[in-house]
Amino acid sequence: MKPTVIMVGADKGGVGKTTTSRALLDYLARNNIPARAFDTENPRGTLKRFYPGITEVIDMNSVADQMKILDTLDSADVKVTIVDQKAGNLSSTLDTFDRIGVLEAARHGHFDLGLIHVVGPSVASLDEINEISDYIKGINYVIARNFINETNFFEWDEKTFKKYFADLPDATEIEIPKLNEMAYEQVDLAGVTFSNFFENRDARGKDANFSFVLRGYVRKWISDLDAEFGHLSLLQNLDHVPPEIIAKPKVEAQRAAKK
Amino acid sequence: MRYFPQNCDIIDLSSTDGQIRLFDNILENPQLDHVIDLEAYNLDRFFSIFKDISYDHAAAEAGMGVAVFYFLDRTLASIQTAIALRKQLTSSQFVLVRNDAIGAYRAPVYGERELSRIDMDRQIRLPVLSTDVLDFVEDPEFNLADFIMQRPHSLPDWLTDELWSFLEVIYEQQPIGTAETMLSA
Repeated sequence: MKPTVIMVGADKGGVGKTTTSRALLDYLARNNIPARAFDTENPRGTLKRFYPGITEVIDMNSVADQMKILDTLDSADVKVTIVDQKAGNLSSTLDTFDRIGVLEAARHGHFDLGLIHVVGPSVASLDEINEISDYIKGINYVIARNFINETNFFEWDEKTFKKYFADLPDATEIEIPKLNEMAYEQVDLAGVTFSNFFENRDARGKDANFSFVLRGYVRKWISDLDAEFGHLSLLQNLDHVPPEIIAKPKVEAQRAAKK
Repeated sequence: MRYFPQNCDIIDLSSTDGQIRLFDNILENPQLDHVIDLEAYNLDRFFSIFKDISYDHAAAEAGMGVAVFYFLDRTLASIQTAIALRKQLTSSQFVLVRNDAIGAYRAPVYGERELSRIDMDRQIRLPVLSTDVLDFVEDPEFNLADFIMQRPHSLPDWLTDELWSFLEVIYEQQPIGTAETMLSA
């Protein structure tokens, strides 16, 4: 399987990058696709709080940390890498990747590179689409419109809407649906994955006592979001690993420990 | 709330807090019967939440049965709403209630055809009560449980007879063995 790097980012803050990364990691886990994650919200990463076992906090401006991602693509045990870009970091990261040949390598098929660009309903956020357009040629570019605040994206103004969305030849669009605010806060407070929350499990995997209503809202949201992720060819290309193969190393490790 | 102030709670379905107080509370007390008196304007909101959170499935898992008593009015829209609502429900019973005091729908032929499209589990007809009886029944001091248990009351004989006839018509429509369930609910 060819390594796959999926960057989730935006230059504007508060548009739902980490929420999207969390939902994506959830989606991969439910589909038995092992993944590792890098959280660039240095030094304290939000993503790491929810996925401590597979997430490393890095500084994308550090060459050593860039190497941690890029130089390990072939050697890493898992072939899917999610990079949660902190606000303000997207353009500079793409620029760096362009200069050191990462984008070119992806265009030549050495690995699959995808960018999920999370945009909010503001001109500043939507202007980013044009600003990064030179970098995204030949890579999987996904625009994720975040409806988490139950807002709209200038659909009421046809001219403005067309300016941003009508002419995106190489982009795939997905929508991040709204999640009930209280449900979102409860998941955040519990520090668990969305899947664990609706399965009523705490961060250690033990039975929890979350509200049925809130779990229901999360289940519905995940289900709607899964349908959106299901549209992405980038994810469709990933090999699904049967659960027994994922479980096997654990058994072997246990046997080795007993010996 | 006016009739059962001790065991009734008013819920604001537009708030998540209210939804938790309603749905979570019921699931946490599966040994009790619960009645939800739903205002017409809340019908869409209630069943949208009900469907989104897969409530009938959870209730079934908790060993609870859910029965939706849908009151038909005289409009075709009411029948069409019933058809759409029925389709949303998976494991819940759907009981159509036709109140003689409201009357039949205004378009009898088309209405009958539409009515046959409702995949109802059963139907209950409520007979008309006279205005005098309604005055008594709607008094918060009166309750049907006391009346049925023949506890002392101050109703005149003619009124008692009419009320018994009303109840008998309803009970006779119940499948055998469910009258007690109806009373406790």
